[in-house]
Amino acid sequence: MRRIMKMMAIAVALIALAFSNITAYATSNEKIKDYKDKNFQVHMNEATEFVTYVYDEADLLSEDEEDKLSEVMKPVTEYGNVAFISTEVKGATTSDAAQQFYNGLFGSTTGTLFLIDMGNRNIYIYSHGSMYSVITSSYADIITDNVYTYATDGDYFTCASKAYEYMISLLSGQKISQPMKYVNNTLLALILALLINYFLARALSTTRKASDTELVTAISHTCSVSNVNIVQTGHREIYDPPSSSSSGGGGGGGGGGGGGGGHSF
Amino acid sequence: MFTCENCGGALRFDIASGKLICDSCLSTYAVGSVKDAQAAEESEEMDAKVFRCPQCGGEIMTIDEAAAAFCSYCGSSNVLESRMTGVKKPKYIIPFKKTKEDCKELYLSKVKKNIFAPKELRNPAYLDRFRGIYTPYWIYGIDIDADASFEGEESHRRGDYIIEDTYMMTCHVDANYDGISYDSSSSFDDEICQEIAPYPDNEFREFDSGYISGFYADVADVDGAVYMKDAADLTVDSVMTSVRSEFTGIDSMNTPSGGYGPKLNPSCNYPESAMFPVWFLSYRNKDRVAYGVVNGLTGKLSIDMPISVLKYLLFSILLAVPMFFVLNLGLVLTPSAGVIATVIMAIIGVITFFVNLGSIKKQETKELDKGYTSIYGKPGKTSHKGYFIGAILPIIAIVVALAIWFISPVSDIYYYAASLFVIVATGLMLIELIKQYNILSTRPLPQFNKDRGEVDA
Repeated sequence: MRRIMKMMAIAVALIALAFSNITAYATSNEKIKDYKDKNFQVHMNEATEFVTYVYDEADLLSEDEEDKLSEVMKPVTEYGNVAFISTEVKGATTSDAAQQFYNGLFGSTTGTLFLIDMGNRNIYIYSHGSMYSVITSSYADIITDNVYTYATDGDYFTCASKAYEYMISLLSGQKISQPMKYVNNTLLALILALLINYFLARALSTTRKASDTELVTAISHTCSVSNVNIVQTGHREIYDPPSSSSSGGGGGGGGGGGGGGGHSF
Repeated sequence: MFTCENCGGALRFDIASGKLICDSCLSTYAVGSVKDAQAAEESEEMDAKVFRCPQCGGEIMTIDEAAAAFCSYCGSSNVLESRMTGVKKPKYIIPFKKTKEDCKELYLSKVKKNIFAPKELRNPAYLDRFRGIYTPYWIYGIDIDADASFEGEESHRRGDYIIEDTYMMTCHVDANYDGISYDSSSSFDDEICQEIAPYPDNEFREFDSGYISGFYADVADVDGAVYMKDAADLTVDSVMTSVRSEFTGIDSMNTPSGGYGPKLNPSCNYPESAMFPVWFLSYRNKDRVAYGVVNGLTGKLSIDMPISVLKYLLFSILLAVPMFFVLNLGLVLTPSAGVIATVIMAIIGVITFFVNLGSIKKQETKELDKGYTSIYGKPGKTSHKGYFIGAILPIIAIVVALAIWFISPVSDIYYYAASLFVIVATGLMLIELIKQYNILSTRPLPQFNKDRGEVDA
């Protein structure tokens, strides 16, 4: 029975995928890829009904590696959908493409997507919904920074599988190594400390001059102003109606609760 | 010199009691009750021994038989040349109220608060060199008795129209400001004078040479006319505050092209002379001298406080540690964003660097010291060799970092190296800036600007 249910779920997912308009756009009109006719590796977590997608269009992985990667990715489906895409994005940024791929695959449901863009030579992680609150843009930057060297060396399987391992660690509440954050913050702390200390040293070493008010208060003085008179000498009326421009609306909202980060390789 | 009627010993003015005291028999006398044995009755002059520093040309005088062991202006311990001369008595004096101990305490308190101050500034032997000096001042009295008129305007909106009204405002101003003081010694920096000011005029006393017994006094050499305009401007500014408060409802008063002075026509007679109490300390470091000056009446301080480069670097590293943890609480920068952040910081540093250039030049040339320039003129240009070296390196680093950011290499190492280069260059620039600030916070030895101090010991 469970087996039948599982097969049905996968079939439903594949049918939905085949007939849904899974199309990625660089802009609202420019199509990047249409995946209607492509083959996907799709697995569904029976308990959570979240799905694993592996699509290696750029053919960076062997079939064996795709299977292994799919296994590595599966624990992510405890928390949301997960996708791996390798492709060659043209005419768009990797981040835009990743968002479009994600929207096409998962819509507004929670999940994460790891994209290897051979066109721009970028790797990118895009997350949405509750997963984005864990795999934030900052963590996406950190993870891609941690794994980009594998992509540089052409070891895309290790690159992707390490990225998913980091994501799983985060999703399970563990900490991950963040050398990029620590190195950058060390450098920034150093230059900030140098500057702040300089201004502090100057502030502590400067003696304030007596103000004019202090000088005058300290001496005997009298000042009387009498026979005050004000005469109007001119009057002018300038026609200047208040601006009639519209208020411009209330802003663009929060952007749908998704985002990501990446790294070139 | 004042002598004790009881034992014939020398008398000196005792700050704590405000009386003349004999250190031999501890007899005390009210100031004015004892006459200087050598002074002529009702004379406008007093006999004084004037000490002249052979190194810087600074002069201090005393009416006692004391010897001056060091020069207060340049810190030189060379034997000071001395001569007896007649010195014109000032009209007023403010006696010392702060003792040397008070002065040391105030000074130490201020120095201890500055974690970047060199430890030499706390040296007890150094602090013992505080010397009580009566500094000559000019006392200005400004009168204004004028019918004045001013133009003003007011604007407001009524419907689709902006209404602009102009007004002629007239009034009669009757003002009198007495006791405006400016130092009349070219050796005493105007900036220090402004920092330890004010000296309240209700503390003025008729001059009696008893007050300066046991102290040194600086020699007045600046003409009274030099600060007349400053005194008049101060008065006019203060009076205009009162005038403006009378014309409520007027948005703005148009400032006349020549200022408000011609409108109010302040009159200033030739100033009276006075002596004000100052505790004076000089700290010499190579060819620079730093001053610690304390108002002998109020205790207000002016300290040339150099910054120790070693302490600056040490505290910067210490500060970087908590800053690192604070940044880690929420900041994640990519390597390329990190480059931009460090570049922004470096640009702030470079701007600060160049802003300080103007201040240092003004300090060095003493162009703002009216008393000094009235006698010695404005010195020529000074060179700052370190300036371009200090500023060029961070600018190069910024350009390199921006180029790397623009090229966007793959490896993080390039970004980190660029950021590090910017930080090192900025650090070196800030150290150079501190060295320049130490120039700003200290002064060139007077000999370099005084043609009368050409003799080097």
